[in-house]
Amino acid sequence: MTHRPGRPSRRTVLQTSAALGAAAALAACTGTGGGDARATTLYTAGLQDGAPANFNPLGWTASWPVGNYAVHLYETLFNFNLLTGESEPLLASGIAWDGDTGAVTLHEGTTWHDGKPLTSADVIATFGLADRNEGIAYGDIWSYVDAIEAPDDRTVVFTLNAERPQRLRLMDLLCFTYILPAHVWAEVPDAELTEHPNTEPVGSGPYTLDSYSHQDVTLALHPDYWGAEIHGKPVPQQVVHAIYEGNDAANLSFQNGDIDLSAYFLPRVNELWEERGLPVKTWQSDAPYHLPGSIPMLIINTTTGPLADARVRRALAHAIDYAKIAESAMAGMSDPAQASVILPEGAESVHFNAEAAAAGWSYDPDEAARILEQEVGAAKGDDGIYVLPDGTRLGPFKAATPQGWTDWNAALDIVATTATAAGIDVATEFSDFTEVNDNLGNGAFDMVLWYVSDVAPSSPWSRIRDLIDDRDVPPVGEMAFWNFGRFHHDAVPALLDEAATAADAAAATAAYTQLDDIIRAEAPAIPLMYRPLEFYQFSEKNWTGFPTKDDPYCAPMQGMTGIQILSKIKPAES
Amino acid sequence: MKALKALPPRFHTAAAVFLLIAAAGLIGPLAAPAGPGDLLGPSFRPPGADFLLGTDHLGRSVGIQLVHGIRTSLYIGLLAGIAGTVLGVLIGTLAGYRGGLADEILMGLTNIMITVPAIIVLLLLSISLDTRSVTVMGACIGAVSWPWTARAVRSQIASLRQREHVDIARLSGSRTWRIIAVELLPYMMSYIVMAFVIQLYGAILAEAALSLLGLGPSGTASLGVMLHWAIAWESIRGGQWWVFLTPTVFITAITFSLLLVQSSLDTVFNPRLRAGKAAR
Repeated sequence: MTHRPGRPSRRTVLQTSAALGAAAALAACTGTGGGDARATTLYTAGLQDGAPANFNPLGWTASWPVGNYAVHLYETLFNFNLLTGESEPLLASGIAWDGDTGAVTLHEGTTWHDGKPLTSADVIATFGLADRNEGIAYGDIWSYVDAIEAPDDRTVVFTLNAERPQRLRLMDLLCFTYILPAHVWAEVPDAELTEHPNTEPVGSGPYTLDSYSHQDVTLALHPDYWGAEIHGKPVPQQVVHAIYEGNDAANLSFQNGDIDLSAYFLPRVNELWEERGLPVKTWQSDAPYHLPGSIPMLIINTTTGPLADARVRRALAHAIDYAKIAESAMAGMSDPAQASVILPEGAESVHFNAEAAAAGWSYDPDEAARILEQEVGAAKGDDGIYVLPDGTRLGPFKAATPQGWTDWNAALDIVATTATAAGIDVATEFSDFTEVNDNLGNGAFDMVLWYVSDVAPSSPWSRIRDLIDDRDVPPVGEMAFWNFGRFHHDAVPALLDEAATAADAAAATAAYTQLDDIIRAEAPAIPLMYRPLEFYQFSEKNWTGFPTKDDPYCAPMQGMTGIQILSKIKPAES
Repeated sequence: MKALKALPPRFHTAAAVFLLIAAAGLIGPLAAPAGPGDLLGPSFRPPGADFLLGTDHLGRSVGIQLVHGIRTSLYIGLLAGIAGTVLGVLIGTLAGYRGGLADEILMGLTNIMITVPAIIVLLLLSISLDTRSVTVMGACIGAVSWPWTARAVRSQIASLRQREHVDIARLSGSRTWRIIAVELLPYMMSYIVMAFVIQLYGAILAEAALSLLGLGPSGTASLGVMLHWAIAWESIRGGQWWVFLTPTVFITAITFSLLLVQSSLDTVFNPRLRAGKAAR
């Protein structure tokens, strides 16, 4: 801001109000063409911020619907069902395991948008792309797969590495890797594989890319979709993803009925139907409204200072008001987090041990005080903050998370307030994403609120590994990609391997519970709340028949649900 | 005293409003029954008997945050205002009095600083600095807000130094600093006071703008930070007017009253505007 007398300050105010005004105006006029097109078009929002840059599934910045596990354009072999944990057939009709080999069979009649057949050669070529460019995300496949072969054009056989037979990781890959047409991608030079803009994507899904701009991405129904008989015929003639500048504008549009399906964080969503009587719904009509799919974790640096002491970390876990976080920071859209890194609902619930979780920590400042005073021998200073016997004050510890993640920021504000009140001095620090990410990887932090492994075929195994397995984790000062807090416990590697190769679910659950017990005893990371993989609120003004807890034909998500929602919704009767 | 009487009534009104708000910022935090970060009640409780100005998204009292926020904003304003004014006067005086090469260099620097949009420098500073303390923020705002003051002071000093009493002082062997302090600055005092008022409200607005963008002081209540969270939690769409209206009204009241004070002073001290007398 300039400080020219009289003028500039006013200009700033005007700019701010102009920005708000523009957002409102944008919200008022975005989307919805009138008339007939509206009745056959599904408007979605919330999965694409900013102008679409590319539609390359091999890169890291692909625009909607590539990424987000959506299969409008490109399809995966299997679809991970968030509700049951099953891997459901999509391009593949099934997988047959024989020891360490898994034979995947493709559906009959799979074709690309250009009419060419989709065969097992395309599947092999897709996984082979990782050999041509090391920037491709699934490049680590060869660390647990020895060979991929195609005995005929409908079958693909995966042979696992006998030393590390990771069925779970392979299923992750089969559920989340888009199969690409070999005849198109063979012509892209190796170095450009991840950079290729791919603005005319040829896929196998039920829609093709019609147009895109900074305002929206429009998909048109592909009339010759191969799966119309097997998976159902999608109903909307067009699917439009509207792009907004911010939550405010998007939520206003949704509230006006311009958007049918929104993945934006919409605080106090229940007021829309309870107080305003709008035809809006979420997964369930009472709190927490959404289906949990991830657990934001307060990751603690276990290498230095008072937080290297497990007892201090456990005291901290007792000093956090989880109910308040669920009620305020998550605006009621989460249940209070329990002392477990396993999700109590949906796909992971079979491994969730409620009894063991209840025996863990809970918000109890008296217990925090007891641990610090009796177990650690700390004494409260004049400022209300504990001081260790060696004179070290408990804090100030910095609790970081990226600026602008509003519910995460609010959750940390609550951690800071309740922990400080309990005698552990915690101050929040919200900064740029890259800065938080770098500090986290290098171990330059006290505590960071971060996302750790969403629900997937391999969860909760992957989440527990990412939290506490220190194999292949570099020391502080070098970039780590998991176990950022550099936690070490002798029993962890063996238990993780046991869980990965467990003969049945019960055996896996037993290993998971032991791992969870280690986390409960040492608190290297503290679950703060549950968050859906996608926020999911829909308006029944133009379309009805979306899945809900009362009609749970698939998970409440735009991605990871195949074309189940697209083929089951119906135009609203007007 | 005579000058005070000559001031228009709006000066007294505006000064009274500003002093009242400042008093709230000084006394309020001491009198408040709880801290600004304390989670006192349910989220978004409207104003009522329990919470005079309601609660925010975390159930913190908006009223208590307000008085702490006023204090933070005033502190940043004063710090940045003093820093900006001192820097501006110093650089402007040196350039104007010395003239020649010093003038060229200092004014060159000033003009560059004027051309570079200060908000961008501030944004970059806020992002690159490790700490986000209130003091650092005030210093940053002060460090980019001096150029207009420097330019105005320089032109005034350049004309003042032609006066005879300055020549006499110089001929009688007075040192440069003495001449500046005794012969020049007293003539500048009215302008410096007005420049300070402008710097003060400019800095308060700068803090609000930065904090609104999420670059505000961390772990502290300020008017801009309150506004930031009000917008982030969509209180406008949600109809929680007390959350965004409270900081907005007070930012407006503070800056508008300071603007009135400044313009009232201007009518008295600026010979071109002086009421009832022939200009020039």
